[in-house]
Amino acid sequence: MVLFATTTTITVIVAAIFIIFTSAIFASIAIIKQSAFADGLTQEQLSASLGNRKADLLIKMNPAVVTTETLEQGQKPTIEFRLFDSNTNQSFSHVTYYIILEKDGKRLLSNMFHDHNGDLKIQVNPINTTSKAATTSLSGGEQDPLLGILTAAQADPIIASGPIFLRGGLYHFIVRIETVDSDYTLLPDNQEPIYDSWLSIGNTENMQISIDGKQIPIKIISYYDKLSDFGFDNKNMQILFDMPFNWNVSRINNTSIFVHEEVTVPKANAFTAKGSFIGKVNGIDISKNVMVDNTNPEKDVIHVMIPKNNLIQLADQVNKNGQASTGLMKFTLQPGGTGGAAGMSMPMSSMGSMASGM
Amino acid sequence: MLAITVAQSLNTAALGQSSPSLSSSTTTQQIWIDKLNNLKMQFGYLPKEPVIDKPTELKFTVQNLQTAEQIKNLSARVVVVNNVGGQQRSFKFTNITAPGGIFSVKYLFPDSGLYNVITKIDSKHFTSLASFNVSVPFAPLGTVNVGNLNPIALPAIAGIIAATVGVALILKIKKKNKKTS
Repeated sequence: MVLFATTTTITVIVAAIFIIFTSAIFASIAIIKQSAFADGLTQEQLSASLGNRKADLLIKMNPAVVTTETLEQGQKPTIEFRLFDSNTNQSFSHVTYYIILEKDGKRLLSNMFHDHNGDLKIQVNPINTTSKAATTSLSGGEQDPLLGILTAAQADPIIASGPIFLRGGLYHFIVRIETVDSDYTLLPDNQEPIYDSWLSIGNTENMQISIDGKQIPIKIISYYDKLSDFGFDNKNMQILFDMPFNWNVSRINNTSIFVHEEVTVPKANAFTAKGSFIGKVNGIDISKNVMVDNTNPEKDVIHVMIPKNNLIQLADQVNKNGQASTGLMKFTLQPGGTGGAAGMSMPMSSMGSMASGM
Repeated sequence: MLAITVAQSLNTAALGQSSPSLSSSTTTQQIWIDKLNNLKMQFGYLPKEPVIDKPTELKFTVQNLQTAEQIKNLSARVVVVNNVGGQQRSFKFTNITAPGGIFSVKYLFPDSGLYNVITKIDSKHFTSLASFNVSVPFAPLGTVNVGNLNPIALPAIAGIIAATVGVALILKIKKKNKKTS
């Protein structure tokens, strides 16, 4: 009975945190203007206007959690683009999407796609190649008879094969709407909504730490960008790792952003003994953003989740103490504290939605 | 009325891709800006007032938005669309190459009205769509291009003319006979 009550309380707290994070992110992206921006999420809804109609673009990855490890195991994720009027929740019809996909400034895809129902799905088939000039090829769908634009067909999905999602981190999607309502009536060049979005592929790193002479495998998934300089300070019992990060406050202010790192540590050992962790970024305590999923008796999953408001506060401090120029977010995790976020643990199912839905 | 009927029976035809030269005597240039790809597309057509069923040259120039340099090694397609009474008519030109960023096609507008000219440009690094308008004025009465008449219409027109002349002659003869009697 006590266990049931505790579980219920935890679920309510998790739900509340989820709603607060989601509201904060959606509130920050609900900017009714020609362009919309977002950064570091795996599903986003961006708002813009189209005449007197709202034109929201939902960009969603399916399955929700995509990491370099799941991709290596053969996962073929689908990216969904849905343009709809959020006042009515009705999709626009006859939508032509111009989609540019970039990674680290390199253009991986620059193509037009059409969907008569406005709900475009593109399956990604990551292909590893040593060629620097590797390009993305498209298959499936059918060619529009006049303009030759690849059009979604229900029985034959569009597949993009190439160097997409081969590496973890941020992928930059730029989506411009060319047509709505009619296949061959283009929106005027100064009225085409442009959506600017950064989606994350979890970058999985498998590392070893040595505690009391025993090798312990650690898995870290970064949903924001690739990690570097992983280390373990045995004396202070600290896991350390770095991640590239642009600390420009106005950039963070102008985007929807969420940093999520996930560290999986097998139990039981001196590192997991306390069941809670102190987290720091560039020496600044962020323990309130650290949550532990300890529902699995075999392992603890430690989530560091920093929403936009906290990132702005962090960026202010990092800029003041002169560390911004390094362009790094330097994480440390060590046992202790109360476990952050009201000192609670989280069930695994909730973490899945946290990873994908924000 | 006869002229309108004849105009509607004319064949729609495209004369294909023409030499990539731009003339300054085209109509006012229409411009399409593609900021994402840093492009400026210019469009013009010749003659300034397109004539039904006579070739109109549709000319396109693709430039870098900042430097005004022409974009090289493009491929393109052009689609001409118009709506008549809710019915959409279209014609496409495909496999157009534009090594120097300039290309043109010749098109015979079948009717008066407002036409939408869409071009899709592809390069190794980008793809872009642009849309322009062409207004084709009403053809003046009697300006019928006989060379493009539908072969079925020719005997019909000849018959109508012969009948009209015949009726006029009969009426004239009858009038003459009345006067003499």
